[in-house]
Amino acid sequence: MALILFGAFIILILIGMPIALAIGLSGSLVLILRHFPLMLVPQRMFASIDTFALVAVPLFILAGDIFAKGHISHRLVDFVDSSLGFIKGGLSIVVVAGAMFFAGISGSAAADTAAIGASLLPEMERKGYHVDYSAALMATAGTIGVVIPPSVPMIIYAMLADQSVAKLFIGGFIPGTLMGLILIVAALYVAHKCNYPKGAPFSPKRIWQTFHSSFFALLTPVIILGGIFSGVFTPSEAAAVAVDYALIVALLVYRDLSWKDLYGIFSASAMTTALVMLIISTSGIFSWVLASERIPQMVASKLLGLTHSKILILLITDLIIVAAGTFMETASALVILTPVFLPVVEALHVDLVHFGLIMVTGLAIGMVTPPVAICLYVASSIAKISLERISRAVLPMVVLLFAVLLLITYVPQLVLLLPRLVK
Amino acid sequence: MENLSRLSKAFSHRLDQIVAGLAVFCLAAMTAVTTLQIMCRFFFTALSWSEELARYLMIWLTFLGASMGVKRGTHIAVSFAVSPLSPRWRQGMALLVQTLALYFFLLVAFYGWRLMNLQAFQVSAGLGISMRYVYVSLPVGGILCAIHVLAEILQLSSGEKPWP
Repeated sequence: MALILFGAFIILILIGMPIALAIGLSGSLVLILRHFPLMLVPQRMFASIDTFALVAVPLFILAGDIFAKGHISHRLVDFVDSSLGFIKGGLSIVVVAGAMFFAGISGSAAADTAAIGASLLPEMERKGYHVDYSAALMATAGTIGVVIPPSVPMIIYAMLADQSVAKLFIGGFIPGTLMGLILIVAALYVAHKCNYPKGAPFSPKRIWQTFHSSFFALLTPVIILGGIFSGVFTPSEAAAVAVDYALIVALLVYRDLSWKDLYGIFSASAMTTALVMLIISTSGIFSWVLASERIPQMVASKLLGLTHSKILILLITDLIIVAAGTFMETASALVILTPVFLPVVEALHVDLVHFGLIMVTGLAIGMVTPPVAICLYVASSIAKISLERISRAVLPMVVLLFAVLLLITYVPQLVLLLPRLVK
Repeated sequence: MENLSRLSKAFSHRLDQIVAGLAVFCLAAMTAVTTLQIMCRFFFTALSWSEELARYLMIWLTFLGASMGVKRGTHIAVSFAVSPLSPRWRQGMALLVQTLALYFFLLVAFYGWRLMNLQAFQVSAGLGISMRYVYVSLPVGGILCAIHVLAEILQLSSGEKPWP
């Protein structure tokens, strides 16, 4: 049955079935073959999204969309540019640092890539940066969006693995910062090799000006994350606060959105949300079948029978996660891999917050590895270059991100240090 | 056949506009209810029904929004395996995908309706409303998605819309 389940799933995806339906249909097929009542289909679809923790998903997506449309990203980028632009290859560093900042506001990597790309790519082209390189760097930096909190994939993982969203969020800081730092080091190296220019000279006056104009944008992560970590509100409530704050800033403070724009933003976010939520919903059928067929236990005993070396099994896990992220979109890879791997990592006494970060970071790499690579799509469409060109340019950066993944896999303290401090 | 295709397209389009309005309402109401929950906890006493209402609005949003995704063809799918095939094969695959999707949505609608009838006598813990009004989102969403898929199949086979 395990073969039928995964076989049907893979075939359905290959013939072009939307992933949410491929998950639901392959699960339903096993229900039919096993003569289980089909009432389970709607029942599991309902139960798997009937949690308050998931309310954070639509609201964080909405807040990110409002911020992206309301030019907040431009203000952030200007501020980062005034503080770091004077370095050699300044713009490429601004790309990474800007993406890290925006990651603290938005919960999705695609939004992060789009926000940074739209405001910086034209500028980089004018200053003589190679366009393939700029686009690839943007896409890679955008993946930090799901590792630095808030993060939609972390919310989904928290629900699947029954972990605290707040702990996962805070656990993402160090891995996300590491990803940013390694990319900055790489960007500095490339800037010296290709002789990329410096930006405007360092000027405290300009820093103050841009700080002033982006003050409310810079305050956002403080409010959202501060509220969660101090326990003032739950992650779902923080997401609602993020929406309120985004609306106030965009409509009343900066006034770069009109009430008329709002309907369009809400309707677009409603649909984006539903695409993710339907995947979570139909995965309820799939994971029910997984559990009733005892497939996770089977996988665990196979893997543990292969070797008892924790190092080796974690390496295999990392590779499978990255491979899944290469061929699958993040939410669907999460809902399928998490239940399958939980018994394995529990047997190895891996902390489930730690494993959540391994999962999310691994799947973040999958966002820049074609064929299914959301950040590459976004960046290549902004830069108007082919997927092939950007894929070639992104390869060395993928290697760097993989190095970070291995580092946080084998040094759990990097993830767990901060959550333990807060507790 | 062409008349039917045009009619179904117009119907699916009109339906989608209404559904989009409802989905926007759900999203806005979720934000408002959750905000209200925080304010009441800070300034008065905690509400007993707000988390539940936000959750139910989200469930409605999911199934309404899912049909918007079907209508616009934005549900995430991969094309790298299908695109190298000959046009004829691609057409066959597209038809197969649409038919299976139709089957799945009708399955959700049919059994969702029966599930709703089973749950109709349950009363929600916080709001005290019949669970019928929450579970009915399943058959409604299933039917909406099925209508859009059907309209798509009709448009493709009447030649009004080019095959992918």
